Amino acid sequence: MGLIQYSGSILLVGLFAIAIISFAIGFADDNNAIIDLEDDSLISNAKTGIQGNLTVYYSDTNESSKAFTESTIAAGSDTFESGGVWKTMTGTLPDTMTNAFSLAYTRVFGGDVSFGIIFTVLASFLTILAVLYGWKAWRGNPD
Amino acid sequence: MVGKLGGVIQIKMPLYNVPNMTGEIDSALVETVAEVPSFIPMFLFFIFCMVFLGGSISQKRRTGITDLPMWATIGSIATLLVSLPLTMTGGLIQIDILAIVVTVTIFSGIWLFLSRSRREV
Repeated sequence: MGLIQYSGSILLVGLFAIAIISFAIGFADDNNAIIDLEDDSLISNAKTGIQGNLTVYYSDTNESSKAFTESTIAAGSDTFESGGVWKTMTGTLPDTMTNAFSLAYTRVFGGDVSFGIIFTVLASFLTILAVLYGWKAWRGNPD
Repeated sequence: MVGKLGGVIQIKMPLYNVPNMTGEIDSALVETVAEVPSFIPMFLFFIFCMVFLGGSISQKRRTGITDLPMWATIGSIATLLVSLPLTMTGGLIQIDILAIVVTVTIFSGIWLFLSRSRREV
């Protein structure tokens, strides 16, 4: 899985989660449903968290794009002088996955410690993968 | 009912009161759920399994390959679309069940997007 595909997948996961939760909440609001998903604090917090992650991702992308256009490359160099361009891949996007994983961990498995280790390891693996991809791209040899 | 037509007050009475033929149908389902609390969760699980297993087996038979993440996502979205109208009547579904359905849908989406190859979305 390449860097662009990895980042695109995580971004789409965040957008998909927000779309599903917003659709369910909007259905309840439009039809005055008795059961409203907004009353569930876990879902509401997860939605707020993912929205916050994507907002930060948006601002980080703008800053990184600005830094990229203003960056310089020394003669004979194959890499950028600063790795700040890739911080959007390693910073906020894995947090989106962590919010989605923690929601599944608490809702589906009831916060059981024995299942928590699975999600902890999975979230850590995705974070390490993001850092390695960012480092590889900074060194000038991306997939 | 009292109405006024051409300055003359008239007392209107309905010729026939249309009976509400569906008035007590929802209570049959609500009472069933009250007696068997696991009825709706099992029904939703049936919806999910029918779409997931039926779609994946059918795809396997037709194309030789099975895209399990895709069918899990489609099945969970179908389950969500069935469970949302149940929230409009009290006593059919609990918020915990709805939250689990939404969580499974999101988890299926995570599985789908992380399992794509380079040439796919």
